[in-house]
Amino acid sequence: MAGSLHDVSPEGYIRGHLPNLSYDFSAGRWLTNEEVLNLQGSFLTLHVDTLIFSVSLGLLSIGFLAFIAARATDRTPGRLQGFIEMVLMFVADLVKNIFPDPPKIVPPLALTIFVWVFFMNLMDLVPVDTLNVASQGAIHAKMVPTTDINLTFGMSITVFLMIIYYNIKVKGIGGLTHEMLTVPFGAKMLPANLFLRLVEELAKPITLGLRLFGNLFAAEMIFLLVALLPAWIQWVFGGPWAIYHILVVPLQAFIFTALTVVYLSLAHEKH
Amino acid sequence: MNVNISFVGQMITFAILIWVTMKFVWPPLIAAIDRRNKEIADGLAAAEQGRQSLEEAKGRQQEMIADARSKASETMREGKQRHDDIVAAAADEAQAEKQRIIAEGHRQIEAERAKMVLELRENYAALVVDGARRILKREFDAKTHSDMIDKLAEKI
Repeated sequence: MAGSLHDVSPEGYIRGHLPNLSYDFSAGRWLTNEEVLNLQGSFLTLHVDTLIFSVSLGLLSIGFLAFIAARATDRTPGRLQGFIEMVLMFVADLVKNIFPDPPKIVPPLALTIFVWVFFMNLMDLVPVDTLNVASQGAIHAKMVPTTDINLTFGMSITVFLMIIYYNIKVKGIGGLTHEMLTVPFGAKMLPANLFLRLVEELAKPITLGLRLFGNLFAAEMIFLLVALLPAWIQWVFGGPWAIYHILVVPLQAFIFTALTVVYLSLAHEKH
Repeated sequence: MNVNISFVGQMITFAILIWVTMKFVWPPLIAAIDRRNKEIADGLAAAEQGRQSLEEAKGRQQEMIADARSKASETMREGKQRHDDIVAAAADEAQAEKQRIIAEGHRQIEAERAKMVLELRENYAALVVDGARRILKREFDAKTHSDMIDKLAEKI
């Protein structure tokens, strides 16, 4: 791996921080930063950093929730349980408002997305060079899994599969085909209906995945740019940006959650 | 950005997390919240019931107080009546006693007077007799005196 921690030219610094820690299974070796940047890895490349951080954050946050849930009391709750119940009821209300009678999976799905995305976004507030410095330059890894398009699309495509599933389950193949061909312009405008519907449906996972990726990637990029400034002035830009991020982190988690519920409710309703 | 197998790994991770949440997080927490909500609702209903029975008890209390008050005033009225009766009776009795005492006094005075008159009469008689006797005695002496004087005068 290129020792880009020691490369202090702005371009070199940023190029050193953009690539994921990648292992190419077809080549059977770790990829260098240059190879990752030049998209030289095969499809069988795994972003190990994204996987490790997303899985551990997911297990930590959801596992913590499960731990609290297992000890949940219906008597007076402690502060921790109270707080988690607040989050839970926030998500439950959100789902109830958008999707009044959802399948059993939807509220837990919404909670998973909200909590998981929240904690992955929160990693953005960890200083950008923490891992590099801690490992003395040995590890070049991205700590914010939501800045990896593979993760955001992994989530949005999963949601998309669920959208397709509920469309078919509720309307039946025939009903869905009929809807796709005749809504909104009627049977005479059949190709237009189909085209519009396909664009509409495909736009869902793409916007869902890109919105989260774009926001967090851009935020990370700003933090990288701030890190290029002289140390004594960094707080002037890094401070406000981090504070702004306290807003962005839950907001993006909320948007992903809310849109997922909206899409699933649209898929679930019969015309 | 290179899209690769990571994306499938993330889908699997996501699916596992959804499953864990669905299985171990959502149901127990929602159940706890629902049970607590029910308990709170029950508690509020019980409080409402308690409030109503308190209201009823208050009504009964008012009734009892009014009842007791009317009984008390009845008793007081009766007592006052009795008191008046007793006072009136006592006054009558006292009046009668007074009359009796006065009459008795008069009678005694009368008796005393009669007795004294009698005594006086007796004493008067005795005095008269005594006086008469004394006068007689004196007159008798005077005659002698006058005899003596007469005799003296004759000598002169």
